[in-house]
Amino acid sequence: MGQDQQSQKKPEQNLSKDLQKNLEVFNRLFQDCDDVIRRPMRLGRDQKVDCFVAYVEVAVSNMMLQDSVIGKLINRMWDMTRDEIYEYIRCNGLGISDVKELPTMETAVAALMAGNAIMFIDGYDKAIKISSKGYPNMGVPKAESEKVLRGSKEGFAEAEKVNTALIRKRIRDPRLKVKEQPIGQRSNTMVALVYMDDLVYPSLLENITARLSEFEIDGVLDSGVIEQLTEENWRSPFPQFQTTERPDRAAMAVLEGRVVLISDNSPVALILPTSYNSFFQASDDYYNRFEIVSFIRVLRYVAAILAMSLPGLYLAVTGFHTQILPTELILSFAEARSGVPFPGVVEILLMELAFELLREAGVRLPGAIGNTIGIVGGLIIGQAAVSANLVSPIVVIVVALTALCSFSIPNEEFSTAFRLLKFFLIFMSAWLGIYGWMAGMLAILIHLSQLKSFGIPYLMPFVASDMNSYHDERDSIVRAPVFRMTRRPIFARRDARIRFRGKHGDKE
Amino acid sequence: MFSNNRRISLRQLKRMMVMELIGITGLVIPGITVGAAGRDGVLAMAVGLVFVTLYVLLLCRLGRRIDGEYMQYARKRCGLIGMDIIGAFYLVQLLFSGAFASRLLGEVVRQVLLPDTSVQIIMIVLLVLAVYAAAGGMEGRARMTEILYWLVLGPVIIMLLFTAKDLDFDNLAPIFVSTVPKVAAGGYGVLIFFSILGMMLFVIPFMKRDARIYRTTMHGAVIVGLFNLVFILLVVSAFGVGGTYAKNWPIISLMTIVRTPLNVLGRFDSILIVIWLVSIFTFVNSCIFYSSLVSRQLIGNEKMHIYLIPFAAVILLLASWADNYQSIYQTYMSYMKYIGMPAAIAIPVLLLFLDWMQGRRKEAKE
Repeated sequence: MGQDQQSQKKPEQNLSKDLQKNLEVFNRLFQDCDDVIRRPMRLGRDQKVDCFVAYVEVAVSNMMLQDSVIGKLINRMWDMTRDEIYEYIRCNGLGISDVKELPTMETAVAALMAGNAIMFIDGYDKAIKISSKGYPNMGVPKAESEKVLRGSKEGFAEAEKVNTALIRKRIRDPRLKVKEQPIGQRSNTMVALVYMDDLVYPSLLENITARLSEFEIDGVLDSGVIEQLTEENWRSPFPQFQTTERPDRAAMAVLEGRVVLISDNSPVALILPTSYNSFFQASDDYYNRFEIVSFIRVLRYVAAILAMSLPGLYLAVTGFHTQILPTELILSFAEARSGVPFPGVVEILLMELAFELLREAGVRLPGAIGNTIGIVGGLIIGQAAVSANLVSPIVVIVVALTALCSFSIPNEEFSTAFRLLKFFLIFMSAWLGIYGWMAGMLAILIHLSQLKSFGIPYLMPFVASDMNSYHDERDSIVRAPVFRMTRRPIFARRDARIRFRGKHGDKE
Repeated sequence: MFSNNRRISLRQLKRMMVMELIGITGLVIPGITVGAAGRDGVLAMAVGLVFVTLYVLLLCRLGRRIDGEYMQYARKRCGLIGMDIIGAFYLVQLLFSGAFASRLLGEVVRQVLLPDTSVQIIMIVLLVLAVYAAAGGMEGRARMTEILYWLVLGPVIIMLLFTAKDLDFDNLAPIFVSTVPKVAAGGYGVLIFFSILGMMLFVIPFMKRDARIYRTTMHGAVIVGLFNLVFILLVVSAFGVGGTYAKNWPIISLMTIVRTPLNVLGRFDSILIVIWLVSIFTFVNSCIFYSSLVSRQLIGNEKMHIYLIPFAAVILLLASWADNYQSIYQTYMSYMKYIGMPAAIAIPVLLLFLDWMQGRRKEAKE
């Protein structure tokens, strides 16, 4: 059923001057919607002007109506004639920014569904939208998944308006544009594209706008759905959008010429385009000194490689090429493995799967129980497995180190790619030793070298860095001092790349 | 925005060339030059570099006349049949070279890393990767090579530094004892393994029209040549002339004597070898890619991907026909010595000659 009916866009129905006709349509649409409050009232000197206010309960408080502009207008209109009321609304009420005329039933319904109150007046062929605080939400929370030691602790809320305001708070420039559109046939989720008009490539905006129009879906409940529907290479485990819960991260991205996509009901914003290097940049990398940031960045890169390759490398070395290790270490490993009945690959897989189960359980379980699982699993189960000679202590160390490495990658979605590819490398190494390990790493490199995010090669700035005169490399594995990062990255328009100039000459 | 024009930069071109050449030349050239000219293997390498320079100059001269695809240019000069013959020659050469490199890699891995694994399995893994990489087109290959460049060269340089201190440089003397024909023969052997530079003519549509293409090609060839010079010096110092000649791959044997400071690792030749083999992978990948490119230019079908898997299968079959590496090596060398390399030189010369003749006829008409 749904496809054909959804595909056909119904023509918009203009509102009638006859209030009853409008009400018939309205009541039919909102039949059995008990959360939609309908308040009929009479206005005017002789109480002859019928009107009707409707709103979603809780989204609009009663106090709000009475204290709002239109509430005050209604009070004023008690003493007016019919014509005076129409004139008053047109000239006076509409001068206030949070009141707007709606010409069709569709726009009136959309406004009501967005959490506003709407008012129909008999003899007036438009509805009036009264803006309100909207649906209940959590307010501005702390950013839970992107913790920083220095910098703002604010995170995105679940309301699109609040989130765009958080970015606007940080970039007080009229060139910051917010382009909204509803997505989802039934959910009508408001999605906003936030960008700097003079920095962004117009073709990028056209591209993302086109991709957002390429599908029809019942509902979009989180930005993750949009991400999956608009990414270019859906088979890749690597995300082609960067995600963030932090307004400062999003603002930074906008100032680089990128586009931030904010979806209503989602505390996670999408940043596009992105690159491999972007996922290793944390917000507070720019608030701390370059020496410590460079050290930590190197650590993250090494950690990312180890998170993917360490178990496989362990298998390759211990199973095929023990001559790589010093003799004492080989003997120590052999002693540690004595009595273990399983081959190395089974040990590794057992422990890796056990760890993945622990991780998943820790995420799903509430509060204190989730924390306890980490201790129980890590210490007791790991220790018990070693004592029972199911696995060797070396394997526990390898798996634990791998897990630590995956946690040091700043972006969770990005680190999941490494978690998955780790198993691919384990199989390749178990099959063909270090040759298999290298073949697996090569396959991943080949995939990354072919991957693009909105036309930007994923491996920037490690490839094609001459496109921006090698400036992008100043913010890659190591970070240059702030005064040396004078150019915006490749994402920004070519004629708008300069972002820093010293007022009193360049610092060298 | 960032254009999707499938073009590559000069930097990417140079890195691709170095990566494609350094692995295979480093493995084979020390044996060829020392086998031909003994201690004067270094001289043979230098002469080989001169031959390579002349070859690149020839290619540059022809390349400047090509506007668009090489095969279409050949068609204008020699007609349809001429173009087909030339294209077929390049195809055979690429497939044969790919087969040789695949077998070489398979043998090295089997002998050094995986003695219990069949060569065919090793080659299948290599060819699957090579097809995957070729499917990414020139841009994808170029980006991959940019990343691999220092990942491969870095350990090679470190290896050279670690081995240099343990060598007996007296093995290098005396020099100038070989005859000129022997040195020239060694140089010709070097030229054979640089013959993939001929693919530069097919790369022209992927580059911006820039005279520096040719300088870049020369630069890349010189870098590889210099590395090989150093390799020859090191292997002769380590093993002497007889020892070098007796080994299939002297540079592999050199890696086995590398020791890390503070004994952090034991023998890490396995790691070095597998890094080295990445370069041979890029060579095989280029053979498959250029084979598909030649076919596409011959047939005019935009879809290169349809040729990748069949060509990989042909390479596997060719690489598997002999029981041992020596047979394939001898066959490949014979083909390249008497057919491959002479034709690789004769074709550009012929096309230049035809171009000149047609130019003169045009002038005469006017």
